[in-house]
Amino acid sequence: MPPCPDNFMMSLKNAIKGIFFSILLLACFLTVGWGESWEDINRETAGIESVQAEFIQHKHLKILTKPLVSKGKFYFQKPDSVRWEYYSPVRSVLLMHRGNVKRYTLGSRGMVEDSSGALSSMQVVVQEIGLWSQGRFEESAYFKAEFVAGKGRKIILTPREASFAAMIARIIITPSPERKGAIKSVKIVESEGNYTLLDFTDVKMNEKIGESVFRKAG
Amino acid sequence: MKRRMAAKRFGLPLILVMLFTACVHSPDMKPLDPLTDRAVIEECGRPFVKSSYRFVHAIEAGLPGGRTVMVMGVTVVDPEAKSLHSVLMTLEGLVLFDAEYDGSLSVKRAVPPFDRESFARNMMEDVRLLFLAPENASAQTGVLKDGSTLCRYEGKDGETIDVTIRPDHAWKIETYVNPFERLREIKAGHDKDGMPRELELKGYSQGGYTLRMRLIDEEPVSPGMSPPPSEDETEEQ
Repeated sequence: MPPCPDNFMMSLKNAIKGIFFSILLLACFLTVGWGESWEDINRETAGIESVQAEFIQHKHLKILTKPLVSKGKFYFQKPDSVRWEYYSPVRSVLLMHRGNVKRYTLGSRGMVEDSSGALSSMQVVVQEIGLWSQGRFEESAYFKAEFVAGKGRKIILTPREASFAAMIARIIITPSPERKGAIKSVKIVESEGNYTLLDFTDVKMNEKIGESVFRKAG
Repeated sequence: MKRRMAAKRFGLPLILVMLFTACVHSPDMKPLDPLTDRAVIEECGRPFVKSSYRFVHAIEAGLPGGRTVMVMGVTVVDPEAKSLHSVLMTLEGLVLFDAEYDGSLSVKRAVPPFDRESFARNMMEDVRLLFLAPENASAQTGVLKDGSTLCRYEGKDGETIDVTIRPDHAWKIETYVNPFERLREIKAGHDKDGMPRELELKGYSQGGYTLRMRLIDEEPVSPGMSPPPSEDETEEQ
């Protein structure tokens, strides 16, 4: 993988920016009350302060006969704190707190800050979370949100910007039919046959999360 | 006079450099006989994939300036067809680069600036060197003083490929275009089951970079394997 020194980090920043959008949207949707309209969602979101959940990530690629499975844990605290942690196959922690974004990965030198985590562009995203955490998805400058009501209830997000659309075609959030306020899955579609499916378990809402969870990788 | 002083000033270091590189790339070795030493020479094929396989690696990329980035790599290798399909993605699963090589390069997806032709070409050269045996028969084979077997191949565009197999079966691949310009170096320990658990590739061009690869998964690929479910099949999940 020969690097392109001038633009390599920029590319990764764009990639991570897309990921952060997904994660932050996810944070908001984990707090969604799954009403029958945007108004319902806005109303039910207001009472949620924090979310934490285990997740299993299935990466489907045309090149793979079986998905690549990653496991981890996710934390979200209003207004804008996120911890997205992978336990396997590579230990990695993505931290967002008070406008700062950092990412640590376990490599040959131990747990070190990953260069792709120094993302000044993510400041913009952190500002966006203010909108999303209030359920104001329709006001996002980056994603167009479509709410599909009824039995096959889901929310479909499509990027407004061509640069995002080149990476993520759409995001589909499907609610849990059993538990109000919980999601069944989030599907991030990149292209035909290439997508990421996130399944959540052990979802806890409004439990106290220490600030250090969002500041320390360890 | 000035010329003589310059020769004195730079001559010795230059000779030392030439001697050093000559030692690196023309090691003292006892030539092997292709007929009687066939088994030893065949050891040089150890680093390369023998049948179609799929590999998943965690790749820690050490970039110029001390930066480090972790990505995942998926590679399907078909040594018979001499073809490669390689995907690079973030830990979160977003695909940064997807390309195939079967004599010619075809980039299916590349997030800018991975869409640069030079990046794609060099990246696939890395992958090809890692998994596919050199196309030409070895021009020179021999045993080094430490008991290692060395096979030297002629690559394309004047490139030389040295494959060294140590007595403990650890191996090294080096490429260079002349005694002074080293291109790549790959080192791996021995793994009796096939693909080493860990590999290290050093690229000396492009400002220099290091890829430390840890094997996450491997599986043989056969034509009968079913493809993954289509997007529509899982749309309602």
